[in-house]
Amino acid sequence: MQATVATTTLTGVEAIAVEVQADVSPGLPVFGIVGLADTAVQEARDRVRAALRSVGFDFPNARVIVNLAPAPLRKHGTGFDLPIALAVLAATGQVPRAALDDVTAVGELGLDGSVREIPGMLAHAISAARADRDLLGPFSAGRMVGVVPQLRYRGIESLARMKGGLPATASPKASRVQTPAIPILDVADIAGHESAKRGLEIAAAGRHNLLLVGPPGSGKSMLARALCGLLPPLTEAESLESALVHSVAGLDPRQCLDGIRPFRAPHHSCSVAGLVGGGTPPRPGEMSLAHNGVLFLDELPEFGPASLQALRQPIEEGVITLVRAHGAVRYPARVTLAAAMNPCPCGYAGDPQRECRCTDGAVARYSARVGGPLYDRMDLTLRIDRVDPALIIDDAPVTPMSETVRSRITTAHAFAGTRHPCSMRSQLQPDARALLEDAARHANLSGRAVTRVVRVARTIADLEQSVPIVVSHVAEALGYRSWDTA
Amino acid sequence: MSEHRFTLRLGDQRYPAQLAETPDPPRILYGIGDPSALVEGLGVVGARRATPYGLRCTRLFAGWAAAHGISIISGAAIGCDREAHLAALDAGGDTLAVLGCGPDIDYPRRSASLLAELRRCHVVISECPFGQQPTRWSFVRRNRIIAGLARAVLVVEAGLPSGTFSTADAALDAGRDVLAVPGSVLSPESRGSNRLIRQGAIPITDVGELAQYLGLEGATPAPGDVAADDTLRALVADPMRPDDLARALGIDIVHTARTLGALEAAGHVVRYADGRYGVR
Repeated sequence: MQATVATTTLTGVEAIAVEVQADVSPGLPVFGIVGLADTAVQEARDRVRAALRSVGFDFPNARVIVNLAPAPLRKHGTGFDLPIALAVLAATGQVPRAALDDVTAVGELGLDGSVREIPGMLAHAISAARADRDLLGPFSAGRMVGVVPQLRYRGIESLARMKGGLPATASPKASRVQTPAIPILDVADIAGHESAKRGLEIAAAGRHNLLLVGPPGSGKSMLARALCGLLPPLTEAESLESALVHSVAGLDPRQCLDGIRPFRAPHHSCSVAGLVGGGTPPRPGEMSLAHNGVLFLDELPEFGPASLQALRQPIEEGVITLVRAHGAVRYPARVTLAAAMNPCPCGYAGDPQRECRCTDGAVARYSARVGGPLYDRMDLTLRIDRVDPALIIDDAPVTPMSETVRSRITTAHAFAGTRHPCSMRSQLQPDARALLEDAARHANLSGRAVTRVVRVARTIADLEQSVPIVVSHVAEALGYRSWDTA
Repeated sequence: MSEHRFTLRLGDQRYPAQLAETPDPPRILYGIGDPSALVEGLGVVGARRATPYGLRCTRLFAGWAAAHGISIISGAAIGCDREAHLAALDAGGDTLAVLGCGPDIDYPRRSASLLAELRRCHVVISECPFGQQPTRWSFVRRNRIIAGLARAVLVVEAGLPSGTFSTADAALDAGRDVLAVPGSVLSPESRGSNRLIRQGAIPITDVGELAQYLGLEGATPAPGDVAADDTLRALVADPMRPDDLARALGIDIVHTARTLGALEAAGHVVRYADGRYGVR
């Protein structure tokens, strides 16, 4: 007696179709799983046997062989528990075979027969919807997978539920919270830092990577958090992408589904795999978890050189490809990178109150740890200095309210999308070009620095919804260039 | 090796007489270059972390003195020292470097090309033998040689505390005058030179005063060419961050940033490494 149940398994952020075939034949009682199954899948034998018994099904006293096809694909995780149990039930006639024809099943089993959530429920749901199949899984995941369009989801709390045939499909309902997301930190609440806040506005409008340089306690981390709050809420498509990565990583995707942009701030002891993803089975790293949001790297030079250099390619391409012996997986990683560093090892170079005691060599070595290619990817460099305490107490309302700033950013972003996509050089007005040439001469700008200045000037022009880049745009952009080129 | 190495002992005919008169002259001088270039000159010293103001003053005074036949003596360190040597070379004048390591050692590394030029066309000396690496104390000892060779020491920019003070002390011990260029009352980088003036150093506020001190034809001091621009007027006295400047002038930050960018492109202001802007 044989039966087949469809399921899916994760590679990257995608769920790939796998068939669970069960064969029950007379012979010595054996329960074997074949088809490149890892330890977690092998352990399904004990969970399935106990679960079936505890909800009142029979586990056949016969030779039971389960094959996971395609056999060469590595399978991992506990999501195979439910399809294996169903295949055994169908093969022994305890559940009608035909009932499972259009169903893809995923879920982990408890010994009591309960059906539990597994990482990547969203990926499984998207895959099922795309294949136009019903998804049978844990009841608790129903609300979350409801956001996947065209999905028919059948949720069960326990294997016992299968005695009454398949549960009804739950109609997908939008679980997205419609109230605007509250930003982590509002720029309007930050006293002083006027030029830094303007820099954040530009970075948010043009999705520029930025570097914050300043002494300890000057407010670099606070400003990076505020950047996340300046970005408009995730669109429906973006929130599903970001939630998918969170789901695959086994994290709660609800914030992303509510439209809140991810903000990830890994500690500098983070490994390469932790940052860009890796491990067996591969897991998305911090950079992918920050997809569509802000990746904040505090104390940038303290990160391992391998970690920093691993960031370079994904920053350019917005995607991380991990190539391993058994194949390549891709994780999305379109982030706005915000990095913070001290100007020197002691942190106080240029601080008016405290003297820096670092030698020039130490400062140069500290800065060199980051490396030119990574600096090159930072369009804006902002010098952050401690704000006069009196200003924090008085809290003079110099800054426009964050709502105004955010709407400017949204408008600018939309404008950048609609403006005629001709080359930036042709948009540069002759006098703006002359100013840039003067600046390049006087401030000794490198070719790369000039390119970055033009890029930032383009965004400043977008903030004013101006197609041409005029003198004042370039003049302002000059102030955000990095120091290594000056 | 094309460079010319020499060794001078105290009492040698070619040993600089003005140095021999000082309380603690080095017994042996090691040098590379032309020993006859060891003439009395003007010591020019200042902070290694010089501000554009300090560099500009160094260039102005050292360049002028060198152009008028005064040899510029300094320590080849980065910052003011280096600028003094370069200004002298650019003016086509004489200059000599006194090192805190063997005269053949390129220290600091960044001055390597400058030192090569000085060894070839001028002179580099030290009391440390050839090949000796620098030590922390050798620079303090070196300062007394700079003071001893010079008829006066000009301190262009010094913070507080500053290694420049040891050169000033050595100058006083050797009976040399200390001249100092005053700086902004608000600038930490000028606190040291301002204090020297209070303690009796001769203030040098323009080329004319330096000329008068050196007994040369006085040049008419160039009047300040600061335009009627509010921003420049605010920055000329004291370099400021854009935030502080915007607050001081009561204009918004975007306008301030654009003004500063335009002034920088025009070469009127420069951005310092600490984010402040100052008049070039």
